[in-house]
Amino acid sequence: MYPINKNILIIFALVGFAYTQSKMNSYGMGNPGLYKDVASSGLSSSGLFPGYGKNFSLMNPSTWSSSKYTLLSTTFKGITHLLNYENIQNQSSNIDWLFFIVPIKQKYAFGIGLFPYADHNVQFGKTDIMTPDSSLSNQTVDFSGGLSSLRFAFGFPLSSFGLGGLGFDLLFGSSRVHKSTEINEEIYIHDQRKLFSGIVSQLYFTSNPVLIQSKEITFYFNLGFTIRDFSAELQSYQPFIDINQNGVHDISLFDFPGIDNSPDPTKKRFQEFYNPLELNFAINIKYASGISLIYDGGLWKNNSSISDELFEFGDGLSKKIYLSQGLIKYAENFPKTIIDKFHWRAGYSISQMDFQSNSNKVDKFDLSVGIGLPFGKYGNQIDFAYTFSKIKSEHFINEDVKTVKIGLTIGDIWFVKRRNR
Amino acid sequence: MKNILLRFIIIGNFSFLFFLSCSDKNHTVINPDYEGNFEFQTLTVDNIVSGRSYITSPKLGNHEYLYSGSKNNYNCEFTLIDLTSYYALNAYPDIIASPDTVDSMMFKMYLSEESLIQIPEILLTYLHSENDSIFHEDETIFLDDNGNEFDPNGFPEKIPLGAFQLSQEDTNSAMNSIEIIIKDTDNIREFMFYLDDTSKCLLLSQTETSDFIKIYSSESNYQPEFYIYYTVTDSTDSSYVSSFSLPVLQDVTLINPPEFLILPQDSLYIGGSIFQSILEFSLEPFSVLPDQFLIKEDSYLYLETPFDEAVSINILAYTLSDSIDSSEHFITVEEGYSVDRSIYMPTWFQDGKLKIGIQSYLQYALTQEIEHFGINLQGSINNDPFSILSVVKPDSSYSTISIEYVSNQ
Repeated sequence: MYPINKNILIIFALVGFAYTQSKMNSYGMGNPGLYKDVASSGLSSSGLFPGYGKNFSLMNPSTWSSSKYTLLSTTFKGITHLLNYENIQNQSSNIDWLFFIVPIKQKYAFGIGLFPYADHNVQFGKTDIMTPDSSLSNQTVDFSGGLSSLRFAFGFPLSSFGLGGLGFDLLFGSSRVHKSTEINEEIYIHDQRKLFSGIVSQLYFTSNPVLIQSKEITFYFNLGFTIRDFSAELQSYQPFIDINQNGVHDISLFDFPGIDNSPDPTKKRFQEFYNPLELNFAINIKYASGISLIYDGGLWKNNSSISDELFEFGDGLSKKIYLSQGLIKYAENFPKTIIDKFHWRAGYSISQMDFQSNSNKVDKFDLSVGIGLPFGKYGNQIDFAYTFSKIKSEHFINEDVKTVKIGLTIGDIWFVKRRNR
Repeated sequence: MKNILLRFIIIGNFSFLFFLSCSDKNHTVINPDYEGNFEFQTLTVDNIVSGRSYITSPKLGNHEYLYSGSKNNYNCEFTLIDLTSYYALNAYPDIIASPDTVDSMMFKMYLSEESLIQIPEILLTYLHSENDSIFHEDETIFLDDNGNEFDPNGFPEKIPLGAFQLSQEDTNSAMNSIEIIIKDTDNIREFMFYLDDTSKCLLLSQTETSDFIKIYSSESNYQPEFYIYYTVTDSTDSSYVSSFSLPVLQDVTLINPPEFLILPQDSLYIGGSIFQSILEFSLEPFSVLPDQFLIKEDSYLYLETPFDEAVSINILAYTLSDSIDSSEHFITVEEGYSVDRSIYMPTWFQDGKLKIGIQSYLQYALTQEIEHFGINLQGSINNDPFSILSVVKPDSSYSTISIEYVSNQ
């Protein structure tokens, strides 16, 4: 690997993990599955289709064995959320993706990845609320944190059928709820912490190409299901008056009651509130050498009911369906022009989300473009993607989201005998 | 090598500038439709408070006044004053050893502005005791440990020094004062005889009960003054008068409080520095509160009181540090009951009620951070010691504890 890679990784590591807020984040477990590698983002694809390079997708383990190189892939994301009803704009930037993939003799592959799974970051407020004793009150609820996924995945051949993949997503994380009410210059604060854990298994299948009407068509399939039930622990801390107004629970005299005079947080465990099942498919139609048209679709469903006690709004996503279409022109191995040096990607996606407890549906529309530049001899690549998303429901939600992602993938050769010089 | 360096510079700088350009913003979504913050809830519990009153030793050591006379059924017959001759013994040993050189002694006490110009007859007596002092200003009670009233005749040696007179008008001072000038040589000799003792106890006594005067104590800026005047004859046989003083060490008025029996029995009494009351109640009605809660400041214990604007009294409420054994309505204790002053319980008078802020007390009692024994009500040391506030006894009358709280739900 080049020495540059270490420096860039250090710079990435120094950047804080801060997520922008969306009202969708306030519903139950949020809106899971939004996190993709840069190539898939540029295509508005779920990641099944090989958008990173020919026959290779960073998100589909069944395609990993086609890589000649061990890859370390990172993605940095900048996102702007415009909440139209409130006319406020939020921005954030963070590392979105980290994956390490090791192909073995171009037959098998193994990968470890870490990426966000669900984001709970949103801050609601109400100002100048009249209380029964005619005082004016300001209230804010700050939700933060979310779940991350540690993925262990394997790719393997399936004899003459194609390629298979198996992944385990160890989902873990915590979200914080910081409720604050100001009345008569006194600030009342109540903090909660929710710890989540669960394991989702992912099965992948990539078919061998078939010829239909002289076009080479490849099918991709993914099934995700829960293999260890999700559990949550709700830790509820002692409410207090923030006398010194620093937002933190301090000892007596600085806050009432002081943390030294407060009981331990109460703990309550929850189960069977989240049981995701997802089914994705993609079709890759090769039109010409280096150009592919893809059709992607999928269904996500929560087979459990969101708990009113665990989630403040007593509601959450129950179902999500999407369809997308993308077009990619791969970079040439031996480029003749500068255009041939890049992967060119474009796509769009439409999706609809249903809620558990209200009949409003949320529509989401994504439009994306992206490019990728392979460089060096060992599968290195820089990718760029821009996505514009519109999220809208009949009431409450109307957001414009602009996302910029930059990915850097560094490759090297492993498991190859080298001749001693 | 050049290629590697070039790539490092280009890509490294590009990434660095990109990160610098990212500025995260996180605005609150202000939306009137949002619900989800906590709400305050109210819990009111009526008629669970019981109370009792007791008399305790007044803590008047730091009080600015001494008293003589009667007021509000309090009787102030005796005042004790300790003088110290320690410095005089060292500075004027010859005078102390030769009482014949002493011409006279003067004791002067300043009156507060509201005191009457017509003063009653106040007698001054020197009490001799073999003890250093017969009293301590912080521990003195009118009744002794055996319930006996203070008896000035119980001292083997006592010297009547005369009666106080209103001082002649002093053009240098706007203060009124009373004084006594002792010229009787026998009295001077006897008084000086005991000057070997470093502490001298004087007794002010008044037998008339109708007049009440307020005298500045040694804790004030107008301390009582005791001067000894003596004649000095120099080597040229000419003589002149000089003086020295005996400073006041401590002083206190023995307050004889009104008998409980003459007070209405359906009330609690708080006030002055003698009457205190105790409020007791069960925490059982508060067991409905959630595991974790925060009691808001607007949480009060209300007691009915015949509000009298003329009564200017500052009530202090403290946490009792121990349980009370007696169940009597009126009890007499020597030292009072120990209290924890770290828990703040403000008090007000409002709409004919005594209102006690019990946010801190209940928060800590219900979370078992403090033991719950009850609340002690007493008057501030700055109150008039003769003020008295009556509260309708809550056992059979009105009492309410009303709290606002927020739960952790």
